[in-house]
Amino acid sequence: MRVVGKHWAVALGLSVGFVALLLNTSDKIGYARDEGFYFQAAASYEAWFSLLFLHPSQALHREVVARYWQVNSEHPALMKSLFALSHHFLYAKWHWFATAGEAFRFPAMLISALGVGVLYLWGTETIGAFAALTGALLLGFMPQVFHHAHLACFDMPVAALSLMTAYAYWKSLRHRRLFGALGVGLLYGLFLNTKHNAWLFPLVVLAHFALLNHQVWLSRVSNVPRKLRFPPALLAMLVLGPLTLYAAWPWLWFETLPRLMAYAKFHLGHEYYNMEFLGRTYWKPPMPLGYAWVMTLATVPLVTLALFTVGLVNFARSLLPRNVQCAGVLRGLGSKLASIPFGSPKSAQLLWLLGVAVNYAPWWSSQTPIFGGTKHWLTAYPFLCLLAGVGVRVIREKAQLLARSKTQRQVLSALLFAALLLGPISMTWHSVPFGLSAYTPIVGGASGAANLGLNRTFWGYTSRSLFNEINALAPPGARIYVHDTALQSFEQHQQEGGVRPDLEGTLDLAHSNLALYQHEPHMARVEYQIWSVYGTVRPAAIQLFDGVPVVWLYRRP
Amino acid sequence: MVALAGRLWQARTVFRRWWWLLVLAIGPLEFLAHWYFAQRAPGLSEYQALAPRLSALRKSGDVLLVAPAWAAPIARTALGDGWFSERDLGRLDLKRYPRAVVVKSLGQELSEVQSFRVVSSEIFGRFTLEVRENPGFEPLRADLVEGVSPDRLGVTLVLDSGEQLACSWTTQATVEAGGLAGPAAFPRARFQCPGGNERLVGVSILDDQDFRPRRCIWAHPPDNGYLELKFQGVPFGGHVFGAAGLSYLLTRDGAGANIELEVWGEGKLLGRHLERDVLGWQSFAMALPARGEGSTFELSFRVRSENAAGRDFCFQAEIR
Repeated sequence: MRVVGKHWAVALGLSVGFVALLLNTSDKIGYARDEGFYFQAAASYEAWFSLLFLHPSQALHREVVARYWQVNSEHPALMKSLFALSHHFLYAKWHWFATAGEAFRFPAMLISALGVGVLYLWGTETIGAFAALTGALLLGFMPQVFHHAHLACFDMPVAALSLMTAYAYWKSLRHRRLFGALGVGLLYGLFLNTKHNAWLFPLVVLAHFALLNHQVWLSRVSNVPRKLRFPPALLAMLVLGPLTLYAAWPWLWFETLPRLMAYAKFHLGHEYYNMEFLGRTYWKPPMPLGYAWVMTLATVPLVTLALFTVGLVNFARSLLPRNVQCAGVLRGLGSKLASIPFGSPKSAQLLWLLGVAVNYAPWWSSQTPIFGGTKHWLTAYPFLCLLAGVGVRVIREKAQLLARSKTQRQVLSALLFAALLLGPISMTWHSVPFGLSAYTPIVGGASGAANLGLNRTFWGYTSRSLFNEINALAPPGARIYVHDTALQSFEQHQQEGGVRPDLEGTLDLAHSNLALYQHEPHMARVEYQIWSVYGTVRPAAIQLFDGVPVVWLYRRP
Repeated sequence: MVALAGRLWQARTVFRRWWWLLVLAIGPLEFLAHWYFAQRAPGLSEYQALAPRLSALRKSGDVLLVAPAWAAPIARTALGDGWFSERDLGRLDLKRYPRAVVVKSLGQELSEVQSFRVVSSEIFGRFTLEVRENPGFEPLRADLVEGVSPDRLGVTLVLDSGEQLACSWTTQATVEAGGLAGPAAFPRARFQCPGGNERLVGVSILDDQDFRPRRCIWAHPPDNGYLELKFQGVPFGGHVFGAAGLSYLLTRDGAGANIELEVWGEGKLLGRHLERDVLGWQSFAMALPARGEGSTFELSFRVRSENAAGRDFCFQAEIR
């Protein structure tokens, strides 16, 4: 019991520490394009919550719900509702945060950090505390994970909720309590209400269920009776999940079916935006089939991927019987799978493997969009890091064989811990504030990625790094062309004092005094317009990341 | 053979025992590699420090190029408009330049100058500065993009009915720029034709299929008939080299109607170029009539399309 308490304390410490790191670096990272839209949506939802508190019957009226919740109704409500509540209480009412933007961002940071803590907890129950701790830190210290964990967006929260739901599901298999099963259903509902990645999750648990039960179906052929192990949590997920989504997303309270259909249609037929990959800009299918794999290799620290590979091989070996003929491999694998207890560590590892496989699966199709870069499959990373934790455990066991005493074992563990985390931590810390421009040494870092023609940046968040120059160079009352930065994001910065109050953000380049440019190849035509309108090709200021231009600023002569 | 098999078996045994050290070594190695790569590209101050040396290397008419190309914005920030211009950046090709001064870093090369002869090469800090001579140099006799002004160019719409409508020159037009999804920048100085703001003849910069800049003459075709640009004082002899297209980002789906560009000189059709969106920018070359040295003639370009809506056509043309 004391050990369990210790693990909870470490998990809490990890989460608190991670939130502290995120808060500490948040002001350096500019507001991304989509954050601006979510700020706007959160403000609308916040107004509705206020109305609900003051005049509940009025707030629940069909037209009123539609008016407030129509904003950004192409995405579910959970995170934006939390942004709204955080803004209302933690900023406006209790003044816990100095800026509204930080308050908007806080819920996403918190849920991301809880994901790191939960990863540790799950790890302690399956692969040991050392491997769990390393795995949790490997997740937190992926440069792109660390970047996305800052944002008032859905990508890291959905990854964290995916992990939490999977953990709760596995726990429910272990303890088989009704309360646990209901909890899984509720969590899945929140997961559904975070982002559409949740649609894939049933495939993970159904595949898990099917693999562990496959001999039940096979037995019908062989007439050897076996009992179906049906997890009540699966049923709870499929029933309670949609109900929770409905309950926590007021937009669905009226015209439910057409609005759900519109939501599904938006994402299933999403517009193809541009994305550069290996020197070519993709904007319509066929998308490159190597995209997810190459980008994972180029952005996830190699040591994490190597540990994942070790963990994967270890798991595969544990399922494959030794010294059998080829024909017997499948039979042996089948019987090993069938013998896995539902709530066992091995069952968890199977769930992790499926978590990785299913979350990457859409990128086996050349029809799947790639415009969001690595954030599309962030949901796979917690599972990838848990399997990397298996790799850590294997390597630690090998290393421990060299030690002759407890002290030597401890020293070796400390060295191992440092060796495995040194790279990810330093790369991640170094990537702030340009997390989307960070690439690992396997492609030669940011400059190597630029040589290869990998995406430099997107979402216009980098403008933040030129605010000092804007404030210094802009004449009084000047208009700043914000390019890919959403005007809402720019205005949020301005409200928080990042940009001089007399300046005005604009999308009208022809009547601007200064112009920002965030580079992507297909955006280049905007830069050419700046040259034409301003009559100069010389940027007045530029921000580099590891010697690579990320964002630059023109001034009208 | 037996000894080799034995060694292999021994290596296998060693690997099976120590493979985990290889995985472990990735951590520190990746850390070191990260710091190496993070610092290997030159920064802004290093580009600024190049100015005196580049001044010594550059001769009039040289073009300054940067490798890797993605580093060019740093060089432009550091060195400024005296070193780079819209004209050079939005060039048709490199043939008009006798030499190129190339600032190279990170071991990168520019494919554009691979055929150029290296005249000199030196290391300067983390750069390699090369002077390269252009074996295909063709002296420029006229750049028609530079000739968009009322003293050298006349613009008219010739309707199917035969009626001619003059496009009037102005230096006070409203500057417009459409941003990412809108039209390219409309210049203040231009020939404004009837039919809408975009129906103009003036200098703009468009993106080609490689998203590179093309400084060109915006020549939107009319709804009926053709747009005629008559350049005066064009030297006889040689060729007109050019390229034509629309903004690739806006037209790459290939749904737009084709555009025909005809080149006329001395009352004769010198050549015809067909613009098709899916191909992006395509070059053309046509021989010019030859006369005595120093004499000039009127060269005209006619632009037409079956469906002119949204046909933001632009072309480059040089006489060499």
